[in-house]
Amino acid sequence: MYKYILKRLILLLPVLIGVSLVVFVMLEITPGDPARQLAGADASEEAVEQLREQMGLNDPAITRFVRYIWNACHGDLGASYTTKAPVIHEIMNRFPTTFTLACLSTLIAGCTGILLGIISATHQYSFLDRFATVFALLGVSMPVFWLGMLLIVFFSVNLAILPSSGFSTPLHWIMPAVAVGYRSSAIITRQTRSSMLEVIRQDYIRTARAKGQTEKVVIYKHALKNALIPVITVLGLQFGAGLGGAVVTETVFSIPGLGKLMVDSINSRNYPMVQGGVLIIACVFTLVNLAVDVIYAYLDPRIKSQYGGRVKAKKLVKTKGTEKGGGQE
Amino acid sequence: MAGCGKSEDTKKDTLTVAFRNEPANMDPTGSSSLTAFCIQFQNFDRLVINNGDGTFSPSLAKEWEQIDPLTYRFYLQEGVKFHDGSEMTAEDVVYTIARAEKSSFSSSFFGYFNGEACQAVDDYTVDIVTYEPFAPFLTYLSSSRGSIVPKAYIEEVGDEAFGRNPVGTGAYKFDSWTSGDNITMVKNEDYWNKDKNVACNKIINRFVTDTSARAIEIESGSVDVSLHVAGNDAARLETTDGVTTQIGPSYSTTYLRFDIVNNDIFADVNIRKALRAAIDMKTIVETVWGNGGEFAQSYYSPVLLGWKDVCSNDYDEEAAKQYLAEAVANGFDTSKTYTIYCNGDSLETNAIQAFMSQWKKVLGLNFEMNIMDNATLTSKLNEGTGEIPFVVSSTNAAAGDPDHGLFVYKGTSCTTHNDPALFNLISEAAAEFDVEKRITLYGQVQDMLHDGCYTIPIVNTNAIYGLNAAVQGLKTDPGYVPDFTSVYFE
Amino acid sequence: MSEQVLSTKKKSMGAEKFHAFMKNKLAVAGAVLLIIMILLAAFSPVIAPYGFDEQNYEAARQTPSLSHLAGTDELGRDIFSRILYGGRVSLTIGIISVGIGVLCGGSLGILAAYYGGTAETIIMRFIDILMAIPSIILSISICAALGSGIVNTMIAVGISSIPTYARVFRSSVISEKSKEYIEAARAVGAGNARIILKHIIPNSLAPVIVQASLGVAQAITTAASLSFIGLGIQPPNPEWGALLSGGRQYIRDFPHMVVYPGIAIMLTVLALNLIGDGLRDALDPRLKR
Repeated sequence: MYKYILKRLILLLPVLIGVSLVVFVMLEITPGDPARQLAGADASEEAVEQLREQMGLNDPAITRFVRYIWNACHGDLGASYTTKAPVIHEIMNRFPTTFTLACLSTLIAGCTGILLGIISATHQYSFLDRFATVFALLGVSMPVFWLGMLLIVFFSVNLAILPSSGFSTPLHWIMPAVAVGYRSSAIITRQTRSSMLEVIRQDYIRTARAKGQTEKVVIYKHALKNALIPVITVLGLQFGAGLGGAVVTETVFSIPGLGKLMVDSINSRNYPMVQGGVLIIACVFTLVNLAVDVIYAYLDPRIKSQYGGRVKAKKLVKTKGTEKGGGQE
Repeated sequence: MAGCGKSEDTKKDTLTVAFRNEPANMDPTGSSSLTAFCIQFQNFDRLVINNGDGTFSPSLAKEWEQIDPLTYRFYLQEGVKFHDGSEMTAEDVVYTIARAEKSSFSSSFFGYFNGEACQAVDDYTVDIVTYEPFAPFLTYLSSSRGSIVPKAYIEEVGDEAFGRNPVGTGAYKFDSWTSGDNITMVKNEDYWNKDKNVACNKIINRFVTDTSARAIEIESGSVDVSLHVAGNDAARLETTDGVTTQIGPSYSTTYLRFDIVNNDIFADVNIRKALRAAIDMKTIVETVWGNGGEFAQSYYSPVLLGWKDVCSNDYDEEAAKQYLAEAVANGFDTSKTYTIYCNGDSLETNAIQAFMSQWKKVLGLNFEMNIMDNATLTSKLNEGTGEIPFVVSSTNAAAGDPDHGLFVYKGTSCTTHNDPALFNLISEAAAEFDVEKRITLYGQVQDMLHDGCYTIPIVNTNAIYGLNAAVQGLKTDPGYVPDFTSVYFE
Repeated sequence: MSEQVLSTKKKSMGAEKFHAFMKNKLAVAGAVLLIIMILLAAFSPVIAPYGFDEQNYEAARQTPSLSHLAGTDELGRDIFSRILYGGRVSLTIGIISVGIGVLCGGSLGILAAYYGGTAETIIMRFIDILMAIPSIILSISICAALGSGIVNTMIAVGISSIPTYARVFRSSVISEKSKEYIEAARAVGAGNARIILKHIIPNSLAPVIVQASLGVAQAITTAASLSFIGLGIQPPNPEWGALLSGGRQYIRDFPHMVVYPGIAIMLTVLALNLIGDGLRDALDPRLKR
């Protein structure tokens, strides 16, 4: 298992260099001169040229790229063109905000999604099931930024009980978290539901029922554990995606997070910020994916055994007449 | 002037202002961002204050006199302290001017000043020299980019640290900067100007990028003043309790611009006049901008020196058709689809759509809009390749002088025209110190611009502030750089 | 009994799946809804009461009424007409972007899986790199690089979906590659190209079709997001995201400008999701009923 993790971590380095290269190339082909952007439309051509020299923009592309990678390996991601502050500094300032939003929305998604999914699967075709299905369908169909705007209209404008922009107090967190969380919740609901339905059909569940276990125990002790495995991975992936910046949500609510930073930096041709930002986001994203894969492998004994992890002995031993939860051997 | 209320309610002595973006840094010559100027304005002082009517009041300079056409001598206030405790002397002024001349961000302003020739005659007397006779001398010195900065401090900490942690002589001291959220300033208890009643103890400058969010923050009371409020939001704020708006003219003009130097599509003056005459500019501006702007009747803002009305009678559909006929006789192709470029600003694109439908209706000409993001558009416009023959641009004559407002008709890389008489006239007007003569010269400039039809003015956008009704003492500044030091609460 | 066997054999796989799909009421509802949206978009010049570009300053900013079913925008244009015309733009972008993703991503995935070895490593590392960048940021960067406009938006959204289809095709091909009928085909001398085109691709299509239908929904939403933040499609093109962006500043007093285009997006995406779900249920061999 550890070998697998190590291998993935080592692979991270070429991936990150590759990401830097892709971003670098895209910035190169993007029209627009960062020096002109900074100097303003009314600056003379000489002034802009002087700025360009200062910013090192006149060096050939390869030189600039190699210099960037070299500096990055030493922990220096450059300084923002506009604020002159170190890129890492700027990104770390925004990171807690995006992290908070991602955590909150994942929390909402996890709690509501899993609950609704379970109810839906165990009470198939009932009213609750239909409600959950409609709820989930609407959730994946509504554009998140549209939902955000509707929430603003209702809660900020009509009822005036929630602030419409910014992220400073917990009151500010509610609407953005709900907007992003609703969609995640819908995805989790559907995933939980289909996962539970699949697990419930398995033989070992039939066995447990045949042994006389109460339905509650069957569901919560046996079915749930296995059903939740893919759900946890999806939840983890949603969290990872959220860290990439819920770009449009941050725009709608004027949240000073990573996503908005990226969009603003692209628009103002703030190259170091774009490169540094995408690099860090890609790194975090990849690490989260790796963590999710590892957790998945850890939770699912079928996979765990493949990697030589020791399957717990007590899974094979019956205690008190019930089988311990676990996948099929 | 009423003082601030004693704070059981801390709001009464803390002013919260909402801006539309975050400044890059607080160095007066470190960026070209309007927001930066607005926030810095309170941290620093300048040599003189522009009263807005052509006269100037003393600030850091007690008196001044013109020694020769290129030199002004300023007599400075004594005992003025920077926020770090050091004293301001003539050396700092010389340093400031030289620095401003060299910086890429302020060279459009201070390129006229000869930094090397400036001298400190003694500790409190300084000579400031320009390269050529330059009438708007004092106007430029009174702008935010002319803020006096501390030489010793900057040489010690460097430009970047200065930009993050500014030190000036102003009524407010820099306190903290929370990236992405706000910059906070506190009252300078050792402010040199004891006559000035600085009411509020703290100013919180918040960054709220969304236009409608800025208006909503005013309504909810979390912000006291909001700059750059949209026209339609202003109408609503006026009718809301506890909130009001202040609308004033600005130095900005938005216009349609032709590149006839690098591209000959619109080289024939007849087609340009046809396009101008076919548009009912007044109605379109009223519909699209509402009270966010006034129909532009000349080539720079009416609050600038020497403005006169040259464009208000341009709408004439019959004349438009005649001009078109002339253009066609000279070879203009009416069957092609022409492109007009813009940066995607929503009001401008709405106006362009209105123009395009009028050009189709009156002249039968087909246009399409090409929206480029701002960065790309500004680069291409300055590249001189003629790729952008027809574009919507806007100018902010931030210096408060018509010469700055005419920058698009000046310079070696000018793309709007190549008429030597016009270049000469503009230079002459910039060097003319006699105010009456200057007004006459600018009148001639505007006539020439009207005949040449190199640009078609659209609108003079207004400076609109949304305010909490308790806020008093705020003057709208046409340069969008208001003075918050006189603000107090009722 | 042999008759029964014969008759079941005669029904092709395709017909069987089609019937499975049709039994799913929600899926059918989704298909009907999508067909309605497509027809509305296709026949918009006929159905729309006004041109999408018709300005009428006196009628600006009106709330919905009988003459303007969804109200008017700030230049007096009828929003309902603009939504209808916008359907053409949005649906086209959705379908073609997915097309680009399937073609490019699919080629990469198939090549990687079929040839294996170094080719696979290189291709999959490249896919990993693309996947490490969150897709919205990738499409924003591409849009900024290429500029705005319908074609560029399609390319941007298409490219950002390449990793998904590359992976789907790759896993499909890997499982097909080792099956016996492929070995048999090779034994009778079929060349690689023939094997890929005639045998592997048709049998790998099931998960791709499911992914594609959901992908069109995703593409429409992504394109709307891009237009919303100012890239993507620009005025006067009535793409749904651009309509939302334009109406955003009037959200306080005229929310109708934001509500109706959003409903259009929601209905289309809903239809596509229902269809995708239905296809997954019908085509997925695991869910035996």
